[in-house]
Amino acid sequence: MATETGLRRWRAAAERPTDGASLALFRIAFGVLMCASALRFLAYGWVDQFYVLPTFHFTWIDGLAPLPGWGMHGVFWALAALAALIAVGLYTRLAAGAFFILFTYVQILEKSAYLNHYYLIVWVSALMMWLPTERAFSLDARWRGKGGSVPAVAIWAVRGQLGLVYFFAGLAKVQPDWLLEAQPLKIWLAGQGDFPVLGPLLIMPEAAHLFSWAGMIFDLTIPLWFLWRPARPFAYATVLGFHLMTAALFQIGLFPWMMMCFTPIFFDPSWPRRLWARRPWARRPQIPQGGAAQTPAPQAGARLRPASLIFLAAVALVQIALPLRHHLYPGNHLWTEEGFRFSWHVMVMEKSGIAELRVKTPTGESLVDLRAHLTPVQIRMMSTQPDMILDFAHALARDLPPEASIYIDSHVSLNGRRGRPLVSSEVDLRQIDSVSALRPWLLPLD
Amino acid sequence: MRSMPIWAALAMTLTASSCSEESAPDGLIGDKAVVNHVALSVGVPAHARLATEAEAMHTAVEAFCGGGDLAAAQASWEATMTAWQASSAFGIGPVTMDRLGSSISWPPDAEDVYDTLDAVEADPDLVVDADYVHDLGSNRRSLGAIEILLFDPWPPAGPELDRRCDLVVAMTADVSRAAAEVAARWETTYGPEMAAADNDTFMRQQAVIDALVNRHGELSESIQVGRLGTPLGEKTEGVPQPDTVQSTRSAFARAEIVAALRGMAQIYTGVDGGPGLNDAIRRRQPSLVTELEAAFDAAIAAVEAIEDPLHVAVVDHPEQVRAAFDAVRAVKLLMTTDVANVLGVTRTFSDNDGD
Repeated sequence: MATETGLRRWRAAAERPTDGASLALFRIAFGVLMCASALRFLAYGWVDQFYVLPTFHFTWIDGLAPLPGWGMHGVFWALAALAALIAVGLYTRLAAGAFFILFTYVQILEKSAYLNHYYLIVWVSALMMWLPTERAFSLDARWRGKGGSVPAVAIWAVRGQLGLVYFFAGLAKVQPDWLLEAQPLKIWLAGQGDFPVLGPLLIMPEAAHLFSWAGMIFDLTIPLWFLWRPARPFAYATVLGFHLMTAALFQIGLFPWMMMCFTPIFFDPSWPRRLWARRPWARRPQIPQGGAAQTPAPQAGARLRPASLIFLAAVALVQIALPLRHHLYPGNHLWTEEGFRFSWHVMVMEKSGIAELRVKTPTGESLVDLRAHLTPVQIRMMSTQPDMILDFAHALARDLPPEASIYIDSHVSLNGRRGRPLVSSEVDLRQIDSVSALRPWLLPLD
Repeated sequence: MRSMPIWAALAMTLTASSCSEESAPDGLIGDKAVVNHVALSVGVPAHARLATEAEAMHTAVEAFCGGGDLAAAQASWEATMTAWQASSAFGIGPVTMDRLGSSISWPPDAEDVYDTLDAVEADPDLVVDADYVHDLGSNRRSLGAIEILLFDPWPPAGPELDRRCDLVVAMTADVSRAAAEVAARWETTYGPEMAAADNDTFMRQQAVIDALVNRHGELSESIQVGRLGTPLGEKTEGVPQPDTVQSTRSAFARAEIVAALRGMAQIYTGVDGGPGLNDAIRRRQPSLVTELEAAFDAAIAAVEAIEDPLHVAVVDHPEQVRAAFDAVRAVKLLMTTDVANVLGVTRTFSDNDGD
């Protein structure tokens, strides 16, 4: 009985009508940034580099292949157009759905292009198919007369998504490399001696330790600070400071800007209207007495369908389970990369190395010319990522006689350690089952 | 008011730290001095030397065609090739622009080179100068084609020799012109931009270090696999491929590899006591400097230990070539892992932005 009451209370809280202004601004920010991202991909030639020029692709699904060049360029133009529709709020959910499908398609085409923030975009676009982000500041709302309020759970879903990213990014930093050795920050900061003003301080070893601990504490606690209303302005100032610093120091593209633009969702849902009402050029009478400016009257909150609740619960469960799965595997997951992806292990590893594959037949042994099969970026990414090594070896095997075997000499450095073999050179990669998550053919780190 | 001392201390710290550009906080040489020296005292002179040798080659070949010494002309080609190989340790900047690099050196196609010579001989009215040569395909000109024409047997005096001279002199003029252009760009724009590292070409000192170390990873790979491994039969089940050795006519392939390795090593040691990348490494991990120097020394010694010519050694003394292959591989491993790591040549922030 008590459980039933508790559930009912939760459901009521989830459905409570809430101003959709901050959610709408989140939608606009997402649309604008994604449009810019797609156009950058086109402008910088990355569509060709990652999807058109390679003759081999490290796909997540066997047999999946990119469209021809014009098709891949079309996909990115479509992503830009869909993102623009999301930004202006026209056919918003349809556009979000199409964006999700196309963006996910692009992601599963090529492992070497995997980035944590692209994975975040996949989830956010998936959420946007379900969330009423178009209720305010949108053409949908204007032309179809939709109300400006949304169920509270819609805002909490986005907050939860961002909170999980920060929290697990922080949890991933609770490990010896990061906290005791200040790696990989020590490597990255060592090259910042000419950073304006702060450069000479940044290259001090103490700076790497300070940044490591500060980064870990920031990631772990920032969602909590946002939950405490009086701390929010300070929390957001910290977010701005942190991400502006990382944007200036490291080449991490849109990620800092995404987080800076997305985190205002943690403020009061009406903050955009309040801010607008306080614009300096506003006529005073427009500010209502004691309340949010132009905040829409609470409407009956949308009844949440069980399917929506189940979907959100499933999303939450998956997103909590995936980042923890690396604990199930033996060894250092930064070395083996088992359970590394889809886990918000952001900026915790610097790996470099080489991979030399050899084909042995009864008549002799030949070094594989990787450049004949892979692009420089693919070679670089594959050289340190065991699953990609196996993918390539298996692809290579398809064109070899059955008696041929494939071996690898690998040499990899992780987080400042001296280089060492990653994969046993005695193992025939052709005989390794790529389905098995456990990888006994990998050599231990220590 | 109470916070005044804190602000004053911070301001003093920042002022002091921003004044100490030349040295790191630990008193060792900072990246700025290293980048400055590598750009202006190693890069600019290396390319100036290339231009000087190319011009000398042009002069020597002209002299030979005027009745002078063939051996001197051939020696000048070797000197130019040595300078080119040494400068290839940079392999960035002007040589990648406007076909300048391919005008200086490109793998030749002997058949195409002789086709060109036939065409020149067949048309006595054809004006054969640097402009004519420049319009030819890269595999018909540059140092590779010059080697073929200079080192293959020459015909006796007569129209054939004269037209061959016309062609090879024009080729050396084309190379000399390109080398001069590269050297001029290094001296006036590229070198200073690299040294300053505050511009669109190199926005940061780290960008210079990234470019050089990445280049050295590529170069050591190309020496190990392309110039030693492939002829040794590494890609052909151990069956030697002497035809894939470059510069077989001059038997200069081994010396070219040594020059390239020395050029690379010089960027780490610096010249005339100036700081090189070793100083940047020393500041971060001193023990690696010793190891890297030993690896370069071992690689150079192993290559020098191959009995010339290389295309014969891959068949007659494969163990010597194998030893050099392994020694150069050791340099490559250091470059692509430990040196890259220590110098912060990041690979995490991938080409499509981020982590």
